[in-house]
Amino acid sequence: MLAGVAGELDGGTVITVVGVRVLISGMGGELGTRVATLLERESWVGAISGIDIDPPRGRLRRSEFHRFEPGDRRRTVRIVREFEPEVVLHLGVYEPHARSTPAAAAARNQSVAVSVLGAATDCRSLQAVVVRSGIEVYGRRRGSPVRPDESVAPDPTTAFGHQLLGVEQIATDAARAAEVPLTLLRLAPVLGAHIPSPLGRLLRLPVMPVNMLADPAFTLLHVDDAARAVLVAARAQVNGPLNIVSSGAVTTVQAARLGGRLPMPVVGPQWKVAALLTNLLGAPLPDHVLELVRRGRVADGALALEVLGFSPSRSTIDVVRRIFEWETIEHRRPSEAVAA
Amino acid sequence: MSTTAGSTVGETGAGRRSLVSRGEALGHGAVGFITGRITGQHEVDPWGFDDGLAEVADPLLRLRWSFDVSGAANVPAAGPALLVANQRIGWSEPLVLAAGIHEATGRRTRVLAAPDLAVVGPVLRRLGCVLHHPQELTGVLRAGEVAGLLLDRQIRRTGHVGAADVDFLASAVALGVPLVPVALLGHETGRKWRLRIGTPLRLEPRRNPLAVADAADTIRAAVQELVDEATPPRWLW
Repeated sequence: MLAGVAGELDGGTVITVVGVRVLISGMGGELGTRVATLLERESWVGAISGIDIDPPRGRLRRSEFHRFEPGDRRRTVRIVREFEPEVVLHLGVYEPHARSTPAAAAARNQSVAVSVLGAATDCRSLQAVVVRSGIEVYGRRRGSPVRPDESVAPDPTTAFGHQLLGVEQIATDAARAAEVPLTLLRLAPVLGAHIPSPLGRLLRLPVMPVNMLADPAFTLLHVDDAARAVLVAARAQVNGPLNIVSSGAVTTVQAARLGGRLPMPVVGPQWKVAALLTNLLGAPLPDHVLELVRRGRVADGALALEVLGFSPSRSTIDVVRRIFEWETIEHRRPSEAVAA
Repeated sequence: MSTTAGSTVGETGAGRRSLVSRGEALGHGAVGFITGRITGQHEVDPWGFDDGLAEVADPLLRLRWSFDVSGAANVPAAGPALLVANQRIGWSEPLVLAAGIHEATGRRTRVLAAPDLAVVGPVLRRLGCVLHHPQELTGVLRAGEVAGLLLDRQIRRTGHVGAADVDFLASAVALGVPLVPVALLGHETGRKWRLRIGTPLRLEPRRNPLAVADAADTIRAAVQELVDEATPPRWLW
């Protein structure tokens, strides 16, 4: 799997950069930035290049970053082809109402997947593709399994679920054309203390709408675990979908109470009023979050442990606790030497 | 509380002491249960099972039903197993199976009986049932739990057990999980239920449809045999 890239300087000195060339789409997101940070510490990784519509959310030491406009397909394709990646980590998946409007998220998910994965297919260097997807692809149709594993056919019931399935299909076509393994990482809803997420905002409201007729369970994934899963998948290069979910589950009422929030029972048409009110309070309720609150969302992550040897370090209940724990910011005074 | 307990112990001896300590434990348990629910500090598994709530519900179920269980040693003490039981109407059987097995063995049985319908489905799932879906059975068995599968209903034909659904048995056969026949004998309106647990049917892990069909026939016959053994012949009516 490890590869070397050779180049020749003007003076005739040959330099060799040992390591795999990794392209990260969506490097500007919290997950993309963390994956890049982890990759920079890996000895098997050579050059790292990232593209996104926003700059990275942290300092990266040896990664290069290219910002692009969502509609600028030519530039995206040129960046990918010039880099000649060996491993593509497609993390450029935009959740509605996270940092994009639902319409913008739908357009970006499709266009970025087509540009990046399409261009990567043309690169002879390509060895593997890893795609960030989500357990939203399984949907929660009535009578469907509550805790699906990877053998269950995707049947999305929300707009974001359909978008994720669309990305999976584009990636599948691209990987088939390039004859390389494709790992589809179906992540549970990713949360963290500083992650822009509609579910995170909803959980932080002082009053949280919950289903009066049921208190469904859902599972989550901490962003650090999600980043580790991408790293492990990039190294393992296995083919097929893998659910990445934390152990355990929480119910909606339990999640609200863990944060000291007040659960407000809602039924039937009251959900429309609840969605309107949460929107006014700064926590819009897209349909995939509404589905999670009303019907729950869990998945079986046993295969990831079996195939990748990966299991998230934080349980779902830990993830919920952490989003309510705001770490104290330490304001450091400049030292006298620096101040002088 | 402790003062009252001390004076009672002093007056009536060891028997009362035990009663008081049990009362205190129950009191602490109730306070802990309620506090846990208010603060959200309790555990729920991915299928929605709340062990603490089930512990509270157990005495209530024993008020409704009493269980006479034989062959409890046939339920594995650890690891996955699929209990296959008969049913007539199917209203009481899921909870009777789960509560009876728990009382006799201490193991929780995840009966595939929860409909995907509010309010009944979520309540049953909170008590340990799972959705009636083959995929749910696979997940439960893979997690090392004891699952409960009810054979097809036999409302009119008393003493006859229904067929086993091969879609459900396929996952158990593929995983090589022991199939344990269970005869449930009782009436919806009655209090007493008898549970007769037979010898487990141990299979090699296979993905052969013929092996699944054979397993379905064998386990159905085993349940029928248990029912026949426990039911006296009706020569006179």
